[in-house]
Amino acid sequence: MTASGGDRKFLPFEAQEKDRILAEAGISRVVNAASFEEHPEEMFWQPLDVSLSMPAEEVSRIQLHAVRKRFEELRDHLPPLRNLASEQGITQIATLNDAAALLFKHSVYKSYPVSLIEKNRYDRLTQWLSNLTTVDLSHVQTNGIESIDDWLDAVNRDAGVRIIHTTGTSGKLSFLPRGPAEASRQLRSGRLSQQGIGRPEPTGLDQVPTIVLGNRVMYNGYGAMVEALLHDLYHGDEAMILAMNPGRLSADVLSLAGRLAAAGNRGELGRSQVSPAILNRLDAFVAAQKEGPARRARFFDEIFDRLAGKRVMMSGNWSMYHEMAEAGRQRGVNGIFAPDSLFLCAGGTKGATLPDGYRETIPEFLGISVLNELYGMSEMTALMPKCGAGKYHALPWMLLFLLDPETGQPAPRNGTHTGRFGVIDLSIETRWAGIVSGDEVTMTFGRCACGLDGPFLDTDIRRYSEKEGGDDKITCAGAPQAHDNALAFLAEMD
Amino acid sequence: MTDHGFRVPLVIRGEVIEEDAVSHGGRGGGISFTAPDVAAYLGKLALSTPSSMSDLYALRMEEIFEFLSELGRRLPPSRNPWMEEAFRISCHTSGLGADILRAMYENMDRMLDPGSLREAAENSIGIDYLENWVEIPLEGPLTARVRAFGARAVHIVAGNAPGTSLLTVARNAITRSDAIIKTPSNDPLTAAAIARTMIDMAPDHPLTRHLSVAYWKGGDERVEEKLYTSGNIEKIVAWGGMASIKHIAKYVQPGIELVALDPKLSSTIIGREAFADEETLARVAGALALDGGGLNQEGCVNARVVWVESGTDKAGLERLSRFGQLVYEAIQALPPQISGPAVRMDPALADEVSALRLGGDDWYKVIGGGVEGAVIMSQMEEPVDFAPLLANRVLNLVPVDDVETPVQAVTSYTQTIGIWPESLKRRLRDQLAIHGAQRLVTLGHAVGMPNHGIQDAIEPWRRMCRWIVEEEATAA
Repeated sequence: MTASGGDRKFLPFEAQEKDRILAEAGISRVVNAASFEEHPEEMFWQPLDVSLSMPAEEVSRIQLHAVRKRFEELRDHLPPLRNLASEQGITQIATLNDAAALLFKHSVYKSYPVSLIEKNRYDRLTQWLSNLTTVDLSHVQTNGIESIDDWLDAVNRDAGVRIIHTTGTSGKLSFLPRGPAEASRQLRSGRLSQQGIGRPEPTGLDQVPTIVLGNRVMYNGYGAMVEALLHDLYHGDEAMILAMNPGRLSADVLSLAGRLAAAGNRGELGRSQVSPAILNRLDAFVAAQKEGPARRARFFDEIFDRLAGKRVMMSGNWSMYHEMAEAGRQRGVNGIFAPDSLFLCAGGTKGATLPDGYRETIPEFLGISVLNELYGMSEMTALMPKCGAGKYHALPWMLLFLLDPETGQPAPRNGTHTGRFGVIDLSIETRWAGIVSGDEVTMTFGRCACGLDGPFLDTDIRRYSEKEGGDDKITCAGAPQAHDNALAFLAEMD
Repeated sequence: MTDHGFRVPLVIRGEVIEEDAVSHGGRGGGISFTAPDVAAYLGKLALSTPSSMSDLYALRMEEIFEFLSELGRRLPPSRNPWMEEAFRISCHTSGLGADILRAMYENMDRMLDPGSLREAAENSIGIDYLENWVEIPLEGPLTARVRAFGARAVHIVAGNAPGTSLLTVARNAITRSDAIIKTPSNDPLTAAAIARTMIDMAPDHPLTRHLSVAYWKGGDERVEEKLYTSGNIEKIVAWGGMASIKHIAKYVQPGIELVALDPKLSSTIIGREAFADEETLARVAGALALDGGGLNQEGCVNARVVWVESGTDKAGLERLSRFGQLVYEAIQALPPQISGPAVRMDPALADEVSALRLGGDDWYKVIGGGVEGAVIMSQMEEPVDFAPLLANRVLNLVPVDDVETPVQAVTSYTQTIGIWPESLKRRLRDQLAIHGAQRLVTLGHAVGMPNHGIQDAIEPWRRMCRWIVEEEATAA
């Protein structure tokens, strides 16, 4: 395409649009609404306000078609889904609520024998994982692998499957596979979440550095986003990612600490029975952790110094933002970043008690007016944004269910109900993305005060697991804390 | 739920207190009840004057047996409104079904049968030692005389079966002790109902006057820090889970002994002889069903992980499958007063079992999995990762090539091991004991509690006593 004469710096609109897309990944694009029933993942690419303002009836129609299609596509490839459907006597999905019987419990993602890890049978662990993803794992090289961390890398490298693992308080980690198809939407998902309701789609993000209050390498939802930013947005420029800890959030550390604690409670196992190879790695992690406080201090010094007044991006929970604001207060810093910076906040306060007024003082410290809050979980590819009326709204590829906490029966799809949150993320193609959560929510099917259709959730969300013993949620934000706790536990063991 | 608003009294040595009630939520079943605030009555509850124990020594052992026997006759709920109420509340809180509970409450008189109690006292302590100073000749110019005295003790009883409260009352009487029973939230009423029956029967009897029953929330420091001192008690007898025992241990100090009836799990070893023929296999499956399904697998004595010397090759796994099917059927066929479907499913266990079922047969095969129970057959020489959760009549059969594998898996947390055949039990018993096992039984007999008084290598009868010696130097 050639422009002539003095018009040289103005390209025709279409070309300009194309250039913008080439320059910046993850931006919305023109999509064909007629394709949504067959390709619900396409809805990802329409502008956020368009997705949110789709009428509930239309969304239901698309979702019913899409969930049938996903079920039929995946049933014959994923034995656990086939077995569940057969146990539930489901051969077809007549209504949306029929699909509630097809939600996996979280335990499906940790149904492997833990001895496969203890005996370094990563070949068989891969075989187990292959029941949960449509991606071909037969080329994953597991020879010589002696740690979960190396296995996670191998599955990612050889099959493009990025595993999301739990923090594993029980010692047994859940492994949730995300395939290449989902990876291609990871960046888009982050941008949707960063945008928030009622604001324009952010652009120019390829020039905006990302602050990570965690480890540089993490096999969780947060870490998957960091990788997508690095490769798809920053074109591999590591300098754009400022991670507090340059090291890795080790799945082995999390798993081993939990296993030893559980075994210790049963009087079965001590540190003396752990293999020397693992112990050497652990000692290195423990040594690195001892430098934690000094490293945190240096990290905050550096970002306050280098990034003051700049536009930045960050994801976190209230506790993380609070920690950062505290560090700023101690240094006499306030209103630190540019007002068009992008902060998203998910996962609540993670059980921490924050000082009164934190909802005002933290945004003030960051230099923004309101912190953009969302609800979601790593089993979903995107988060649910919060509207002006204070409700979390479903995006049209999220088929939500409100379940009776005892029986699992879905509530009628009208009115307001309190119970267990369940979802099928219809944008996910390589895994059956139907899951029962551990969260108690209040969900409304109907019109929200903000003018958008539901379903939407109240902000008062609580974990059932406190009643059920042990919290093993897949979390992004809590993981570094769990890692620190695990290391502290291991350091104290003899 | 129609039953609610239960009032749990505080009983202090013959006196029933119902004032100063505060409200408590129960453990499971969604019940709540009120009970007097024990902190307000601590001065009375603690027995700070040991001399007031002397009235117990005016009783002869036969009188104690007679008292308990009469108490037993008055306990069946069909003729005792206090016990009827305790039974009703248990139906909401217990993991046992109403049929099983009804049978337990109606048969409580058997636990107080004088012949049975005499046998237990004789075997575990020796009635002579309870009644007299027993002379022990020694070399040299010394004679020793030994007598078993009672102690002032707090008993933290378990709530999984009402029998633990009654057993505590009987042991307290026979050892001539002063008991403060701290009742559990999942059985808040049984001990108090027994105490009230004693008050109705003989309000001024020394045995009635040395039993107190209180409910406070475990860990309530207002109560425990003041009560658990060496001036008030000499022993703490604690039944309970890991958290509860660890919590109580902090009060152990010079002058206070902890008799810990720790949390334990039990297992089973079945030798290859079980596969001799179909009839033998069915007989073994029936016996295992009793150990695994009796009392709805609510007890520490119940079988959970079952090691089977079937072999781990293809033929071995097929043998295991056949056996698993028979075990499942035998559990389903148990009579309702012994065993029934889960009253309250543990959701964590149910999730784990359902995930194994969906995951295919590579590592585990599962028969059943609903409220009726399940048999999980490992396809390798390892129990499921969630073995400590096994309950609700879920058994895990683990194939082994060699019975050395289960021997290595035994720890000090292993209580009972049911073994078949007998010859295998005799062959393995020393090794199992050295590894930590505490009770080795004929398969099918795990759920009983015979009167040898040993109980998990703890010997609670003997340890409830203070063993006092008198030494006399004879003239040279």
